[in-house]
Amino acid sequence: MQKKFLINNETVNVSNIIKSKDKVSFELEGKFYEFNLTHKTTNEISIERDQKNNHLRYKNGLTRIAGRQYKIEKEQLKRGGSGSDDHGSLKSPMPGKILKLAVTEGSEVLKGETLLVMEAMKMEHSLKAPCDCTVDQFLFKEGELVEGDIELIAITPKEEQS
Amino acid sequence: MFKRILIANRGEIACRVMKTCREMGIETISIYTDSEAELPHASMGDISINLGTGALSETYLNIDKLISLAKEYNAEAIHPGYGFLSENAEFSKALTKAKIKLIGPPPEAMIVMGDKISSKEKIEELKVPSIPGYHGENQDALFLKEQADKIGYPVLVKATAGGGGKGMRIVEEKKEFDDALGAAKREAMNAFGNDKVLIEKFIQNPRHIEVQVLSDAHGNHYHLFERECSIQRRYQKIVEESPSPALDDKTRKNICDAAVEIAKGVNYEGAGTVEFIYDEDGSFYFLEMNTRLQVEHPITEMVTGIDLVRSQIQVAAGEKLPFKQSDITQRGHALEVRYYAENPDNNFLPSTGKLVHVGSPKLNNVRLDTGYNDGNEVTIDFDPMLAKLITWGQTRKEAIEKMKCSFDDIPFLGPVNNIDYLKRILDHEEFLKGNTYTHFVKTYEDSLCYKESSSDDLALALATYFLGGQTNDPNTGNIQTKTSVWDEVKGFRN
Repeated sequence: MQKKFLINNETVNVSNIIKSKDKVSFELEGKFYEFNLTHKTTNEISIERDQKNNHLRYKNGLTRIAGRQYKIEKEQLKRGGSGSDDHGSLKSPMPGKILKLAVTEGSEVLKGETLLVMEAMKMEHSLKAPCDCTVDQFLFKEGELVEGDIELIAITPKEEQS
Repeated sequence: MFKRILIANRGEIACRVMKTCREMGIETISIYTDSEAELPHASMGDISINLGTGALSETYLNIDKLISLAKEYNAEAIHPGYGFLSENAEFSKALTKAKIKLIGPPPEAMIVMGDKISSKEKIEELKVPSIPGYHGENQDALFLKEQADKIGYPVLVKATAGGGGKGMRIVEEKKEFDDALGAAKREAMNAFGNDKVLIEKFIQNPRHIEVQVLSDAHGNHYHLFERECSIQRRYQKIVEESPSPALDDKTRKNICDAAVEIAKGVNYEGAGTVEFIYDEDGSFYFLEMNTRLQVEHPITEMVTGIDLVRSQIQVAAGEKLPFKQSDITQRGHALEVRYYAENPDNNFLPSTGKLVHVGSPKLNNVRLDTGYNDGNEVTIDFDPMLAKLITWGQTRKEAIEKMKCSFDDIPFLGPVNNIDYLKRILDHEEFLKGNTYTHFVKTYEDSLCYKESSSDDLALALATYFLGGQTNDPNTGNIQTKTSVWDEVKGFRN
């Protein structure tokens, strides 16, 4: 039996899951794993593997291992495609105020040029051109308040122009 | 001694101060706003008062309201914590007038040291070196650019009323100057209502080393050794330690003596911090003096064994400090990291949401200072700092190991935080060697970046999921949607 899980929003295939109350074994990335539950309370859990106990904190599908938080969910619960397209996005990083539109609409700009300056959490954040492009439109005016994760600037990348 | 103190602050520092008050048998009044009713500081005081809802100027920064509350509830003194009104001379004066004692320095010292320009004039008088720069009144853009040219690039443009990296820009080359000046001035105007800037030489490989001072009203001025706080992101400290791995005994003595000279020179009272920039060649320059308790004060408490809040209260009550300079020693090594609700792998963007599980220290000599409990909401209304984790060891290595072991004990499960990133710093070979400069985070950006998890760690994470069971306590966290709860129920039947 193969199941898909999301660990920190990335899909992971887990196969041959055999689970009882205090034991679980499965295959992950071609490797066989077997764990025994040693002890658990509401937020703490001890799990043994290869005769070594791991003492962890956990709750609601969250745990932290070697400093990193893991959020585990079943994949089908998640509506697909969210998340990873925000590289160099021209969206507001968080709620704030538009301070300055740094270029005029219609300008051709080079990658890395500042297009817009906004203030959020009392710090200035510059939105920079993700590539050589034309700035088609600013969707907000200077002084306007914007929500987080909202598209602020419409651009056309240079390679798409012709 | 005071019978009752009002804590004019919130979060971890309010809790921190109240702990010592309780130990001293002093009653406390804690204040909070509507949205904070569930946070620990709200109910930790012997008396707790709801300030309602509104802008900070209506609540934590409302001087008239705080004074009338102190009077109404018979508080003899106010502890301002850090931030908020802690370095506000008007607050200090208003308290004097109302015959309420501020647990902090006299307003004169606060005024002189509070302004970056007047503080530099004062320390020049005291013959302590400071960084070459222009600190004058002339704010003409062309004139400032000439000054920058004269000092030589790189230079730093910095708001005189600033702090926390706001209104501050490094200018690497002449052609960047105009843009940087504009941005710094706009930011300063927004954050502090004052866009005056100063310009100074930017030091290539600086360390941030600061000295804790304590002064009483009887003319005693002591230092409690140094803290190194070079590891910063966006000019905010994230890792601090004492002692500094860079100082030898002679330099340590020089820098600590210089700090004491400054405390004496301004007739300081209470706890203060003199910040220096330390250059690779062993020279150090005065940066600023913070006339309040610092966020990172616990590491000093760990190495000296002195409770700084207790000392502050004793001094404010007019008592003599109960020790001499020669009694104060720096024992072992202490490390502090700051947990922030932010994503270091996405430009340190603040994150928000419900804290599912905070955790608690399991090892000896590990201290957690936080203003959050399980189930609390992290919002963008206040500082994104979640907690400070402090460890003490006989050696630096021991303190680091203890910290790394403690991350999983105090996981702050919930919104994304920077613990993973802090661990990468503590694992970094340059950090381990003590090569900590203020640009550490930038210099080693590549080697500090996100690394894929090992399949063993992923498997262990899955095992906690399978074996932990999916309790879904409605009071602590809504990570899973309702549909997922139903799915879990079905899952168990399979």
